[in-house]
Amino acid sequence: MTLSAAASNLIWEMRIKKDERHMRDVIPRELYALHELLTIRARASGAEALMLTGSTARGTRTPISDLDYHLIGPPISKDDLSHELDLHVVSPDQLRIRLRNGDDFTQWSLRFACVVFDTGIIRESIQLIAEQQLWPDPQLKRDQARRSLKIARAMVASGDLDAAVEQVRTALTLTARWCLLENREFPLSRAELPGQLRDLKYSELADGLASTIHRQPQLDALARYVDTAEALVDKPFAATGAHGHSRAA
Amino acid sequence: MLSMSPKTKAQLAREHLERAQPAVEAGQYTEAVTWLFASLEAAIAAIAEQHGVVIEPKHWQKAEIARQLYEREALPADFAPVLRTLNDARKEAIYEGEEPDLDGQSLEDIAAEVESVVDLLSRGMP
Repeated sequence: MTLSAAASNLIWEMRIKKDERHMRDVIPRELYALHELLTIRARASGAEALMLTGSTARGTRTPISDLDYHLIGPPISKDDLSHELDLHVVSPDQLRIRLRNGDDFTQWSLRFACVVFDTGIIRESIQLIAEQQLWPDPQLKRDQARRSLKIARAMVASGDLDAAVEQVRTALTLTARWCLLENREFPLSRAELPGQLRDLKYSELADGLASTIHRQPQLDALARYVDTAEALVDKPFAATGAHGHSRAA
Repeated sequence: MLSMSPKTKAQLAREHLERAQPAVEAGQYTEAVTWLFASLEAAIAAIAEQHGVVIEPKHWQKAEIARQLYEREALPADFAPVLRTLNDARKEAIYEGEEPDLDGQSLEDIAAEVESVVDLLSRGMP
């Protein structure tokens, strides 16, 4: 083994240990047994890797957060586990394909998730991102935002406030992620997006998203948020940059 | 300005179902699964209210309530699995833009299940 390979192995081992300590801090105490059970089950199934992802991994849980994991390997039985668990299962080949196709969720996990265990696929994928400077495809996010905004508008019009708040929150989150990716800013967890948007001068979108995360806005406010987001996704993209300069039209 | 009288969960369940049905017939899966999910959640919430069960905000908790209502014989079947299937399907439709996996069921089958709960509500429950 070369010196650089040994150093690389050491750095990776330190990362795994750091993630382990971090998970003890960020996983709610009442959910830690569930985390351990899932880990045992994933290892027993022959999975190649397991990552704790989403807001829990970032330490930014909100009252609406689930406990999200990215499992690389065969599907496992989870019917008897708490449905608070949100498990995204992909095969190693699917992970590689999604990474190359510009899927932002895959990159999100590889950049920010806590590694529970890894037989090599995660480390290999992180190296691939770094070496090839892979970046998620913003157009995929824009398409998702458009589909979601259409549904959100209809849900607001239906008068179902509970469903509308959730649908608008989803649509604004997707719009925010698209905006940030276009600006070459990697979107963090949902609760962190308003701050990232404000830094880029998308104040209205930031306020709308924050409102749907932390408050219960009324239908007329939700309709305005949808208007704001639709105006953004429907016009040609123009990056604002951190200082408000337009970088592209 | 959007101003309307607040609708009951039972009304919303019926109206959402009526939005879903043409989408089911046309095979517009994103609209179909979204409105079917909204309809079933509203129907479960209405039945829970009638039985004094507190509605929790998260979807998985609402599915648990559907199971509890079945165990208390307030529902003729356990609709928790349908809720979970629709919840996953609507996310898949938005994120992937493709026909979602419905755990081997057809859109029509699921729509019929949702309609049975909404009809039960209209008849004033068992």
